[in-house]
Amino acid sequence: MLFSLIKKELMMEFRSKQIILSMLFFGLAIILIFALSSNVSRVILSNYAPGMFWLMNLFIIVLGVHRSFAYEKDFDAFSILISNPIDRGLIFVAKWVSGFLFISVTQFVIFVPFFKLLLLEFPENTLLFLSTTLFINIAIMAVANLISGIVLRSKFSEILLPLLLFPLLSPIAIAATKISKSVISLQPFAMWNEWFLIIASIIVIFGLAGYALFDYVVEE
Amino acid sequence: MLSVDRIYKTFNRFNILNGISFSQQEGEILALMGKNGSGKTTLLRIIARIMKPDSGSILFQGNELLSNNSLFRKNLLYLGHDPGMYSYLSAKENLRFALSFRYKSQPITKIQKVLDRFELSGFSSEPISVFSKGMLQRLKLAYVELSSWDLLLFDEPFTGLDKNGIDLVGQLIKKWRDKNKTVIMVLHNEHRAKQIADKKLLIDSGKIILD
Amino acid sequence: MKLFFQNKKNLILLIIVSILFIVNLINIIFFTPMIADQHWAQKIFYVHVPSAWVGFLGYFIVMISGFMLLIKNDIKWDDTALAAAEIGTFFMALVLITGPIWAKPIWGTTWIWEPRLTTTLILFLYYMGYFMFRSFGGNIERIRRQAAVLGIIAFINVPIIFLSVQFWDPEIQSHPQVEMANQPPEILYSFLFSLSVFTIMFILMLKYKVHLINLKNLSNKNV
Repeated sequence: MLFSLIKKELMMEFRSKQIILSMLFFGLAIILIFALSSNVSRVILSNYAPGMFWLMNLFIIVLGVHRSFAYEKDFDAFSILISNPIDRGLIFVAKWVSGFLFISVTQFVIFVPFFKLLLLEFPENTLLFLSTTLFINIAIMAVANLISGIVLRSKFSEILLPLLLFPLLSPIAIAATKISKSVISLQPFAMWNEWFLIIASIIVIFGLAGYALFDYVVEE
Repeated sequence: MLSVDRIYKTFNRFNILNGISFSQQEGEILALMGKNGSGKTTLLRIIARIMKPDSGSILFQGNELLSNNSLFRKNLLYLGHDPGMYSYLSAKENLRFALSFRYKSQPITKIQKVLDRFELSGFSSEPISVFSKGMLQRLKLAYVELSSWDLLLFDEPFTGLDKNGIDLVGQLIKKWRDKNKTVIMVLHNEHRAKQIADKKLLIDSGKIILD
Repeated sequence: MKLFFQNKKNLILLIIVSILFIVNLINIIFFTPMIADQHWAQKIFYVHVPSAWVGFLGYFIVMISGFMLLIKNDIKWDDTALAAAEIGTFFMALVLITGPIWAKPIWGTTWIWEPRLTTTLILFLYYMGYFMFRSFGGNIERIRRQAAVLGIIAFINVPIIFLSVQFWDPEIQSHPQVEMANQPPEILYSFLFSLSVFTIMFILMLKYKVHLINLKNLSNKNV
């Protein structure tokens, strides 16, 4: 059942190509604005790079998650999910997993232009940087999909989503920036393990909350 | 088989359903009728557990449908006004996914055969966003044909259909009757209701005024 | 439906709260000791900290009411949640106003990203989104249920927000609230008295707001 739901998400994206492409080009547009508006030296910019990286990610995730749920409104497709004998928590998990895959693919692609266009050095620990990014994506998508499910049927959902999501994502934003900065600075894990634990606890708390509460969220 | 007991529902503070109660035996075909806004679609969507009532209970095959146990809905199939399918996917893909959600997969040859029968085989690989209203309705009928169910909730089965389509629905209804299937349909045509339904429920101002 | 203050209990509560509030104000202004390096600015704390306490209490009630609405499906829990959210947000706004007023003479700046203030700001912004969500229409019954979920996830996020801000920059001077416990009795008891007055005031405001929401629901109901 979960596999069918995830497969459906992937097929929808493969056909429409809306989520990844829109996130990608929006991300590139943000990088352009960063480059043009930050008139500072590379040294200073490299200090801000982790924060800017995650700022860009948060904006593109809002776009992607909103689009992922917008599909469900077309043709009242959502009714086929919620009227069938499907555990509604699994709908959340499928959105979570597919959202994680979409943002991760986008980040793998946008990682190179981000550092190149801002004239920054690639992190020495590129593999660790990308791995920690994937880990953080899991947390972000848990929160983002829960909120997106809530605002799905509201008017002005494109406004409500970032309004509700960004305050909730603030601890993730702090933790993500700290982790990325520590990885780029080659600090040992012991120096940033508390941020790792914060991300892990968000994954557990919001994963469980999303699974348990999604039934109430999706009803009309 | 189905027992609906004192269902109340407010929608934006309007009392849409005011204590609806009725029961339906196995093999009965029930026509749900009433003016626009009388609560017919709301009642169907409550039975399908797409929405929850303010109070009341619905028993289906001895199980409380309004509980959180999704397996109680295993033998219940709901089709609303709208297609209820994914616009970017083809007819075949939509059917395969929809059937997998019902724990029933069908071989692709059978799906193709049913699509042939409903005159959709020429478009079976196109995204359903290009389908007309009538074609989408036929797709829903194909879905019904391929699924296994004991109770069908069908909101306006004849919408958008040409004469052939209407005849197809007539044939299906006959088949369901022969197989002792239970159906609740929202209908607007009095004459058609008389022809096909065993029982008629007329809803007005959220109450049943004719049973 | 009776007017709220026609009920004797509510009227007595109003009188008690009014008297206690005035006594509290007089106590803060005239009888609490002046701290050498902080002077009048320190007295804001007798308002600032109880406001924060009441704000968080309000949001806690939103969470509990949210759980109860989802379990019991009784609209009165949503009324309580909405009332608590509005009053909690009012007091959080008070915290965000009094905080900088205190901070300027003490810390030399109107704002620092101190854990409590930051958590307050984050929750305040989140609840602005909550109220916008409730206002932007759609099916009121669905809005109630989803607002309950929003209230639940807001509060379960509070310890995470607080800890992450605390670890963010441990050098940032935190509130002297923690040091309150070590203060001499005349400061501590005044603080506790102010805390109690604000709590009772919150209870009265909550009851009144729930009453107003009930009235509004009755007038909107299409019978």
